[in-house]
Amino acid sequence: MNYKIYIAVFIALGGLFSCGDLLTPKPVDRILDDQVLTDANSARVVLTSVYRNLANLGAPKIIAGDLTADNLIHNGTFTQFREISNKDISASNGSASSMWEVIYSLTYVVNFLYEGLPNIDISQNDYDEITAAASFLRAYAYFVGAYTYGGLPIVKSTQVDENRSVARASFEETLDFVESELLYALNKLPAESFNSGEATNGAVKALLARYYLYRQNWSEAEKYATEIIEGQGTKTYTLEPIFADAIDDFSTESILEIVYSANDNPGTSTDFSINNLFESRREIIPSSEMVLSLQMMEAAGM
Amino acid sequence: MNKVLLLISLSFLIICPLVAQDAQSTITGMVTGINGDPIPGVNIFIQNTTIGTISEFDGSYEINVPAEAQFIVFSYIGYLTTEEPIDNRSIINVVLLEDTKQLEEIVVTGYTSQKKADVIGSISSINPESVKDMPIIGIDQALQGQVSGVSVTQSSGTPGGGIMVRVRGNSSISSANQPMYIIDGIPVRDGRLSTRNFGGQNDNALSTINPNDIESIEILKDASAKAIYGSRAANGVVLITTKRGKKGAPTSFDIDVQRGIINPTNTIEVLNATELLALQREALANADENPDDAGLPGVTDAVNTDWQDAVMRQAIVEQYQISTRGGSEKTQFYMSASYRAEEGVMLNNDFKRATFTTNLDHQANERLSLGLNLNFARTKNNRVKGDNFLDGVYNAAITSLPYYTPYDEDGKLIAPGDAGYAEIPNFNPVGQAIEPRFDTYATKVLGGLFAKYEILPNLMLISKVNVDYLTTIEDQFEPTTTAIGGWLESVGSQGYGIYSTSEASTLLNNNVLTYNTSIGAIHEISALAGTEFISRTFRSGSTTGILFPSNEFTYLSSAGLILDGSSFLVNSGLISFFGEANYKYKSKYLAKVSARYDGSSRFGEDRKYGFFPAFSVGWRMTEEEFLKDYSWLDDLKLRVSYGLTGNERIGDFQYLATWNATIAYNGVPGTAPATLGNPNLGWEQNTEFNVGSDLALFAGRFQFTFDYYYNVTNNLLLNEALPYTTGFSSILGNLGEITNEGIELTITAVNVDKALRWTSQFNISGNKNIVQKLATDEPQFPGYQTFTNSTHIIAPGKPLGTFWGLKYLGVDPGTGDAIYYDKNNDGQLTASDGTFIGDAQPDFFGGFTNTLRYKGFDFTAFLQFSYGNEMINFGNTTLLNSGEEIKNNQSVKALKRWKKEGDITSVPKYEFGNTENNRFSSRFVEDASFLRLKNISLGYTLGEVMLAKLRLNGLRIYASGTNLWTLTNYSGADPEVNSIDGSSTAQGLDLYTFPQVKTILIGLNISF
Repeated sequence: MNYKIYIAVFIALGGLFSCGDLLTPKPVDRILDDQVLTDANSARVVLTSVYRNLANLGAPKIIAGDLTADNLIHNGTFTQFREISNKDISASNGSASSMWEVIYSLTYVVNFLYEGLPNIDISQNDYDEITAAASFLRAYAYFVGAYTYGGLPIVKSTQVDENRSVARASFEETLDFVESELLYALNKLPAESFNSGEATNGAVKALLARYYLYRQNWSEAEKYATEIIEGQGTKTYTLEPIFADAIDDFSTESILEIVYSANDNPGTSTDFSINNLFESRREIIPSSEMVLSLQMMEAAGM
Repeated sequence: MNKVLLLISLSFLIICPLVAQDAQSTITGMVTGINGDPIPGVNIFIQNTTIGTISEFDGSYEINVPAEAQFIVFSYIGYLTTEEPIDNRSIINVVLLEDTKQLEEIVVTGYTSQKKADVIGSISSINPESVKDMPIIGIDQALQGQVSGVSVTQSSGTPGGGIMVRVRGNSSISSANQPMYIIDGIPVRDGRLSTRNFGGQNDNALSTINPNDIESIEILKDASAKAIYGSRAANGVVLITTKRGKKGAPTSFDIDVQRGIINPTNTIEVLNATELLALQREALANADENPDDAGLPGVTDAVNTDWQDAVMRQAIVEQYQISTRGGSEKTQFYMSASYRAEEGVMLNNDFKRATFTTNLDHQANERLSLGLNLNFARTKNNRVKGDNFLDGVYNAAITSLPYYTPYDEDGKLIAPGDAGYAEIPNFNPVGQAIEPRFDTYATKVLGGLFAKYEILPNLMLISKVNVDYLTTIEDQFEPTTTAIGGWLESVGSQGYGIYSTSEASTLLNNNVLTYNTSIGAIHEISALAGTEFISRTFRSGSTTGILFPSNEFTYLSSAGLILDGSSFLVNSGLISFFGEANYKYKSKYLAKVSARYDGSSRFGEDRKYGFFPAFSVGWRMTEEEFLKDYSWLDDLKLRVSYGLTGNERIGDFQYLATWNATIAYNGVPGTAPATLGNPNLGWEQNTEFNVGSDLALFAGRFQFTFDYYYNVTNNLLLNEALPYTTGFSSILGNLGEITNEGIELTITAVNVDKALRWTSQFNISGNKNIVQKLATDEPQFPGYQTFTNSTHIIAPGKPLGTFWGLKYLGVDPGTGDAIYYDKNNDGQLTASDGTFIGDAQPDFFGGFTNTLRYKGFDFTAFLQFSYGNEMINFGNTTLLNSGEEIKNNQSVKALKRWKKEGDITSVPKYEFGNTENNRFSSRFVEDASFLRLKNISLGYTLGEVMLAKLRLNGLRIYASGTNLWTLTNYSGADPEVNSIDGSSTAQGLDLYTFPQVKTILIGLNISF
C-alpha cells in the first residue's frame, strides 16, 4: 500500500524529466543547416553573411597589400604582423592564411545560395538580384586572391568531401572565372542601394573596369569606366571638391564601401579588426614615407 | 491527508502508518581505552538496526535496545570495532583496542558504501582533519599532496583562483580533464565562475563550498570504482560527504577561529634604474644607435620605483565558523555558519565567503527515513587582472620601468594623459590594481532531499531529488585612470563598464534499489540497480557600456553608449541506468560487476547512448589457511579491475550542422555557417586496467597500498583540419588516443606509539602520459605563439605539455650572439629548426606527512614534492630579452650578459632590435622540480581537568604556516603555477604568473 504511493510518486517524478526533451535540447544561438534557406527574406539574410565575409576581407587585404608594400609598418608586439612587415613570413603565419580562409568562407556561402535557391519559392527578380550580388562578391574575392596568391582552386559546391582536394586553377583560369562572374552580375543589380555598403550595378561596372585595366584590355576598361563616369545604368557619382570629404563615409565619390560598425571593434581583442590594429593597439601604423607623400600630393590645397 | 502532505513536502515523502514499537530496555555503560581513559564520540549501535548513539565526553553512553537485539557494536576511528553480546545485561562497559588498520572503516563508493576490507577498486580517502589547520579555500585544494595518483596544481597564489586537479594524468586533449565532484550525491559545477577573460587566471566555482563542513572525501580512481558513473567518470570522481548529526548524541557546538597573515613566497629580482639605463644605453650602442637620441632619462638614481613592492602588501586572512550537531533517536541534525575573508597579496584583491549548512535526518518509521542537505554560500571576489594582459597588475609590476613612479610629487595617482604615464607596455600597475572595480558575486545553493524505504529487510529503495544552483554576477568598471577606461581611444577613453550575470543549475533525480543477502556463511551478495535523470541549464547575459560622464558614474545606466550586449541559454541532459553486483565467498574471494548505460544530449544522433561496464576481482590472502600462522600479517589483498568509462564533457551541440547569427552588416543581421555536422560524435572513452595490493602489518602499524594502472583513452575529440577550400577550417571527430600508465604507492605508519606518538603518511606516484594518435600525423601547437610556431606541441609519442622551440647552445664568446642548433643543417635559423625542448610532466610527485603527538601537543609537517617537471619561464622572453626592445625592465640575470669579446656567459649580448638573440628556445626552459614545506602546524589541546573546569568538551589552539619553505632550482617566482589556468595542453607555462602565498595563522577550536 505505501509502496504504491512511493511508486506513483516515483513515476510522476520520472515525468518531470521527460526523456525526449532531456536528450534533444535545442541550441538558442544556432539553427540547423536545413532551416537556413526558406524564402527570399532568409536568402537575403544569408547574403548578409557574404557581405560579412567581404568585411572580413578588408583587414587581410590591407595587411597583404600595404604592409608588404611598406605603406604600413609594424609597431606592436604580434609576431605575425612583424613577419609580414619584414617580408620573412613563416608557414604558420595567421595573417598570411587569413585572406585565403575568408575567400573560401565567402565561397561556401555563395555556393550554399546557388544550391539552395532552386529549392525554395522565390521570384525570378529576387533570384537574379541575390545571385548577382553573390557572384559579384565572389568575383571580387577571387580577383583580390588571384593578385595575392596567383591561381586559386575554384570551388563551386558545398560538399566537404569534394572540396577537400580541389586542384589549383591557373592564374588565367582564375581570372576567366572572375570575368564570367562579373558578366553574369552585370545589369542585374539596382543602380542605387540605400548607401554604398552594398553591391550595385555601378560596383559591378567599376570592378569590370578595373579587371580589364589589370588585364590590359584597354578598350573594355575605358568602356566600363566611362559608363560609370556618365552614370549609364548606375547612380551618378561626383568628385568631392574637398579631399578630406572624400575620406568620409559614403561620400559622393564612393562606389562600394565596406561598412564597419562599433561592434567590429571589440576592445582589446586580437582579431583582424582593422580598427583594433590601427587605433587601440596600434599594431600597424602608416609609414612616415606614406604620410609625407600623402601630405605632399593629395593634401596640398588643404 | 496524504495528498496534502505530498504537496507540502513538494516531493516524494511517503506517509507510512507507524508500526507499533517493540518492547525496549535501556543499557548504559562506559567506553574506555586500554589505559582506562574514557573515549568520547564512539559510535554505538544495535547490530542489524539503525538504532545508535555516541559516547559522551566522559565515555559514558545510554542506549535503548529492542527486545530481540543481540549485539551492540562499538566503533570509533582508530580503534577496533567491538561487538558485545547483550545477554540481558543492563550495564555494558567496553574497552576498545586501538587499530590503525581501519579495515572495518566504511568507505563511500558512489551510490552505496562498503567496508574498507571489501573494497576491490582503487579508492583513496582523505580525512579532512588532516588539512583543517591549513588556510584552504576550496575542497580541491584539500586534495593536494594527500593521495597518490592525484596531482593538484594551484595555478597561482590568487585567493579563490583556479586549481588544476588531475586523477591519474591527463586523459583528454580538447575536453575537460577535471574530475567530477559529487557532494552528498549532487554533481557540482566546477571550473570558472567568471565569463570574462582575466589574462590566464580564472576564478573557481569550487571556492563556493566550505571545506569545514566536510566529513570525508573519497577519490575513485579505477574503472571498478568509477564505472558506475559511466560517461562522466573518465577523469576520476571525487565523492564528498558533509557532516551529519548522530543518533542520540547530545547537542554539541564547535567554534573555529583562524586568523593569519599572508605574504608572497617570492619576488622577481629586476634591475634598478641605474642598472637598467646602463643596459639600455649599451643595447642602443651595440645596435649602432646613439643612446642620447633615444629619449631615455639620464643615468640617475633619482627615481627608482620597486613596482612589485608598490602593488603588493601583507594581507590578512580570517575565518570564523560555528557548527552544531546532535540528534534524538528519530531526528538528527548538523548546522553550521561560516565566514571567511582573505585578502590577496595584490592591492585591492580579496575574497569573502559566507556559508550556511543544514543537514537533517529523520526516521519516519521503521521502514522509512528521510533526509535533507542544504548548503547556501555567497562569495564576493574582488579580482585584479594578471598574466597575459598588458594592463595586468603583477605582470606589469615586474616589467614596468623603474624610472617611472605610481604617484606624482603631489601624491596624485599618475593616470592616462598625465606627464609621466609610461603608456604601452607600461601602464601604471598601481592604478591598474586599485582603480578598477572587478567584483564577482557568486551565490550557490546545494539542496537535496532523500527518502529511504525498506521494502523488505534486505531490499531498500533510495530516492533523491537534488539541485545545484549557482548564479554569478560580475560587476565591473574601469575608470579613466586605467588603461582600458582612459588610455584606449578605441573604446572612448571615458570609462568602460561590464555587467554580466550567469545562472547554472543542475536538477537531478535518482532512484536506487539495493539488495543484500547471504547464503549460509559462505556466499554474500549485494547488488544495486538504479536510474538517474540529470537536467542542466546555463543562462548568461552580459552588457558593456562606454562613455561615462565622469568617474563618479560607474554603472551602465550612466553609460553614454551601450556597446555590446548578449544573452544565452544552453540546456543539456543525461538519462542513465546503472547497476552493480558484489559477491564475496567466505570473505576470501571478492568479485564485482558494475555498469552504466548513459544517454547524453551531447552525443550525436547515431551515438546517443553509451555502455560502460567494469569487472573486478579481489583475493584476501590473509583469509587463507597457509597464511594463518603469520600473526604479524593483518591483511594482504590483491585486486584486479578492468573496465570502460567515458568523458561526456565534449561541449554542447557539437554534432549538429548549424548556422549562427553574425554581427550585422550595414545594419542588417545575418547568419553564417558555424559548424559541420557529425552524427557519430560521441564520448571520449577510457579503457582502464588496474592491479593493486593492500597490505597491513604488525597490528596495523604499517599499511601499504600499491597500484599499477594502464589506461587507454581513445575517441578523443579533435578537430580534423580541413583545407580552407571547404569553407571551414576543421571538423570535429572522435579521433585521438592517449595512454596513461602509472604506479602509486601509499605508506601509512605508526612509527612510535608510546607517550610520544609519531605517525607518517607517505605517498608517491609516477604517471607516464603519451599521446598515441592525433587526427593526422600533423602535430598541434597550443600555448603562446613563438618563432617556431608555439611554446607547446602535441605530437604522437610525446606527452601532453611537451615544449617546442629552438635548442639553445649558448653564447658565442666572440660575438655575444646566441647560438642555436641548426636542426635541418641549412645554415639558416628558421622556424623549421624547432625541436622538442622538454616537458611539464613530472617523473614522480607526492606528499609526506609526519605527525607527532605528545601529551596535549601535536605537531604536523607536510611536505609536497614534484620531480622531473620542467617549466617555461616565458616571462624571461621579455625580462631577459637581449635588447629586442627596451620598453620593459630586465631580470637581474641580465647583469651577466655578454659585454665584450671573450666573455663566457649564458646570457647573450644586448643589442637593440635584435630578435635573433631572443628567439624562443630552450634558454627559457628550466627544471621546476621542487620540494615544498606545504604546511607545518603546532597545536595544543587542553587537558581534561582544565576542560572539565571550563565546562568544555575540547579546546585546541594552534599555529600553522603554509608554503614557508621551498627547495627548487627554478628561477621564476614559483615552480607551481600555470599561466593558462587549467590547461592540459599548455602546462608548465609561467608568464608573470602570481606565485603561491605564504600564510602564517593561529587558530582556535572550542567544542562544548
